[in-house]
Amino acid sequence: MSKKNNIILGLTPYQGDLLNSLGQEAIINFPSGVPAFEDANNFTLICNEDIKPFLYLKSLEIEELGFVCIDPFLICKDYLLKISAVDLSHLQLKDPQDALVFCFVTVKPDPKENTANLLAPVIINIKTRIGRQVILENYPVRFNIWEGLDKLSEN
Amino acid sequence: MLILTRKLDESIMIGNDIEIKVVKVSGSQVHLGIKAPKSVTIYRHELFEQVMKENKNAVQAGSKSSIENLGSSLSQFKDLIKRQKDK
Repeated sequence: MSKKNNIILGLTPYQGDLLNSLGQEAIINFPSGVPAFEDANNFTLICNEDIKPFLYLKSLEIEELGFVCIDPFLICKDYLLKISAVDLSHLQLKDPQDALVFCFVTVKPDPKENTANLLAPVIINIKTRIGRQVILENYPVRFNIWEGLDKLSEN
Repeated sequence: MLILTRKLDESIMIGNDIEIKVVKVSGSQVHLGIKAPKSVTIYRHELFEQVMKENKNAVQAGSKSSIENLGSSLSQFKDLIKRQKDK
């Protein structure tokens, strides 16, 4: 029961717990920024009742820079991440259980056209508070969120 | 851009520790072997470009007016998620 209720909270239960241990006001350091925004090195994750199930990753250095995010496991049940040794070392990630995963969302005027970037998820090591956008190769850069949710609701 | 001519099995060095070698050439395809330290990320250029482009799209879309769009789309999203929950 609690599992299903948590979907309403905007995160899968497992990721919700990770986010709780990270803490909402935490400063997350992105040593290499993210592609196209290499100078944005510090972010904070905003979870707001009003924008659930989305979250907002806000830059602390560059005004107006921020990304709408979503928990990929909420929209793609079989999402599987193979993180390279290089990325693991940048993240200083030793235990996969410390990895919080989000995807950037491209918001469109029509909600049915909103897409999530499953190709390049953001990984946050909740222990070191280091974040990095990694590139997986085998997922779409524009995954339709609506269709993803709809597909899950059919199953 | 620096342009170098290399034959099969020849390589170039970038700095002291990155080696790029021509391993195989078949028609218009070139196979490259890369030796680099663990800290160096290697991507196909078009993949990296795709991510840069989509990040820019996402930021544009993440501006204030789009957040309002997001807000207006949420009720529909919630209905969908509720349906998912009820099943």
